[in-house]
Amino acid sequence: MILQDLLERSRTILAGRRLSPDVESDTLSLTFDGQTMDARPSDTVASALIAAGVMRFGSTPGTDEPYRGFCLVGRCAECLVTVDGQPAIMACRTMVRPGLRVDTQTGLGAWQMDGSE
Amino acid sequence: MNIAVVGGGPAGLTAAAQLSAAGLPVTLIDEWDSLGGSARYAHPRETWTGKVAALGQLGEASGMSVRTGTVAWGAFRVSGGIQLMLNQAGAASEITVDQVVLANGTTDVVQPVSGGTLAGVLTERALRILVNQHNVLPGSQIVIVGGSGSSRLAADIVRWQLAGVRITNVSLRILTAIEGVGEVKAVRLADGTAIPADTVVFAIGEAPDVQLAGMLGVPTVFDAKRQGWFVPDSHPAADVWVCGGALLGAAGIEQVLQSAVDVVAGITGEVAQ
Repeated sequence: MILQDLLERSRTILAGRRLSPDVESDTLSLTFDGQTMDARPSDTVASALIAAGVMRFGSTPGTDEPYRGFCLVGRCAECLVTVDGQPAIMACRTMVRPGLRVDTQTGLGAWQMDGSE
Repeated sequence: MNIAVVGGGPAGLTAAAQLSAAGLPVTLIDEWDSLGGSARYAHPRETWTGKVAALGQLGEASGMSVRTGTVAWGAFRVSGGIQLMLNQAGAASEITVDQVVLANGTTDVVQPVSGGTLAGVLTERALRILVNQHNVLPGSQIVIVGGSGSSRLAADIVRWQLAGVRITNVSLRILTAIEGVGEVKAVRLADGTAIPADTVVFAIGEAPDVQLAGMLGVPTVFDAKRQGWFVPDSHPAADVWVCGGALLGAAGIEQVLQSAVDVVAGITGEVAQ
């Protein structure tokens, strides 16, 4: 009985970094640097990236230090990414949406004007 | 008498809902799109979060004004009272009130350790947000620096260890550096040993956010042991009240809620006089 309980609990980690039991089954797709990535509707861009194993969100020029999730509450502003062409958006304060286009940026980034928006 | 409550977490919601239920005009301001503050990333087993949600409904039923997605970034004394400067998704506005209740919580304490800017270094709050709100465990070799919040994570830590995740707890005192190129690879200790790691969590405390209190001229005192600035008490000026983490720093939920109840009693007591 105890062994069974232990085995049950040892299955608590799902594939990837999503913990089980995973109550939310819905998924949506966004792109990260052009690659399709799954996310949950309740994800922020930061939690979706970390769930996909992406710890490094971008980089700063000069020292090449990473943008990354650190405080996840909008205080440190170290999780900057480019969202739908708009640079320097905090990944932790941005909810995912179907088809959201997320790109890494270097330094302050640049506006991506593709004429479609 | 107009009252603004800054922060819609357990303390702010309690204060706002009870003041509104007592018939006072209340505006509750919160920077996030949904109320709840730390209740949003409390462990699912925490039963008090239901009470906090019910408070939001009570407050709204009694007609309190709620402004979510709105940062109160400044507070100034003007002739008509206290002017709060607001930023709602880039749109500026301000409101003027007679009394302000600061319930804007805490920020995790961090130290600028060598390697602290690597990807994979998080605050303890960030870990709880990932685990409790998003069901994500950021790594499989996790080093937790310090012991704050450990009781809130204890049950989960055992579960993760059973699932093969390596969790090591180290004191800040014996941490020399976090090593890696771009991402965390190891934690170096004072005795020279290296612990392989993909995630490092700063769990060395949380300190009140006292910026608004400071802008209103409330004196703050640095507490060296808790590594943060604190306001002296819950009613540090005639028109300023403070409760929750903004007053207490790290505290249990009962203390947090009680501090809000105390502020409500103080305000309603003054109104009655």
